[in-house]
Amino acid sequence: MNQSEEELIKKLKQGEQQAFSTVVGLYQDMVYNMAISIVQNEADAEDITQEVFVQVHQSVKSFKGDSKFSTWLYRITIAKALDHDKKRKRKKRFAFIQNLFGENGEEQFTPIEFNHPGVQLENKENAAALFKALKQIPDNQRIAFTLNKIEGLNNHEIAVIMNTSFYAVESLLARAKANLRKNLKNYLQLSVKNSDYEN
Amino acid sequence: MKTDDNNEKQIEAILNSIDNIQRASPAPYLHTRINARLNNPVRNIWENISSFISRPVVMVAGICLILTINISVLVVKNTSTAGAFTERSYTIAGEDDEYTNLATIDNIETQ
Repeated sequence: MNQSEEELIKKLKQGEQQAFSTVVGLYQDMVYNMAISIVQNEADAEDITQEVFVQVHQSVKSFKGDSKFSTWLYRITIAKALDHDKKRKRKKRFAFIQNLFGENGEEQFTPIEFNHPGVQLENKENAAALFKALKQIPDNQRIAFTLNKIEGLNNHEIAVIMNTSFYAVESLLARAKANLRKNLKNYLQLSVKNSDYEN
Repeated sequence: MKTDDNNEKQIEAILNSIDNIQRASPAPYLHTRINARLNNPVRNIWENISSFISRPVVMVAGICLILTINISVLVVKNTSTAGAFTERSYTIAGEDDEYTNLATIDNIETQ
């Protein structure tokens, strides 16, 4: 943690509103980008970003400064985003009950194709397929892959955030790529079959 | 074979599609919305439960449920009381028969 960051956290712990505004300004893109990459929905990511900063405001006193402030923020964001994802899956499971009562419960949870706002136009279609495949791999592999590919962090940084070893991160990334390849292969075969059927 | 090669190339292209991804930014005035949340904290679970219970639909459904349970308990109780009464009547009738029978035996003995 550098000196200016240390000073900022100190002011934040003292409850200075200006310090909180600076923290929001500095880290909002990082938090939002991580959240949107996990939940794959802009409105939900916005909601999670707000929740993260509310928690930062309320529990900054518990931040001991053993790790970087950004590491702490990444951890809060990942926990909140995964929690949100689980809640959504739970709601989806019970959506059929709403359907019994005539409400269109399942319609709210029908996954629509996600387009990350930061993807270049020519890669939009491929990136949408990748994000769809990402949803199907285990959470820890998904987090490691997202931190590496989307946030551009190295294995050491990912290991600190995920509270694991360097070699565990290497293994997680290798397994994530293998699973993504498998899922994408199925996806492409299914697309070919569908296009044959349409013809 | 050719299809497999094409698939491999396509998978590689998909995996590399987010290589130069830009960071997404939230909608403007995020700080204002966070401040609004800090000033109006989200209700806790008990507040949510109490607001759910106080909904008119839930209240009416609750009252209907209590009334149904009460009526069904009364009906069941009445049926069982009536059953017990009939059983008791049969028992008394049986006892009468017994006395009658005994009387008949006495009659026989005296005769």
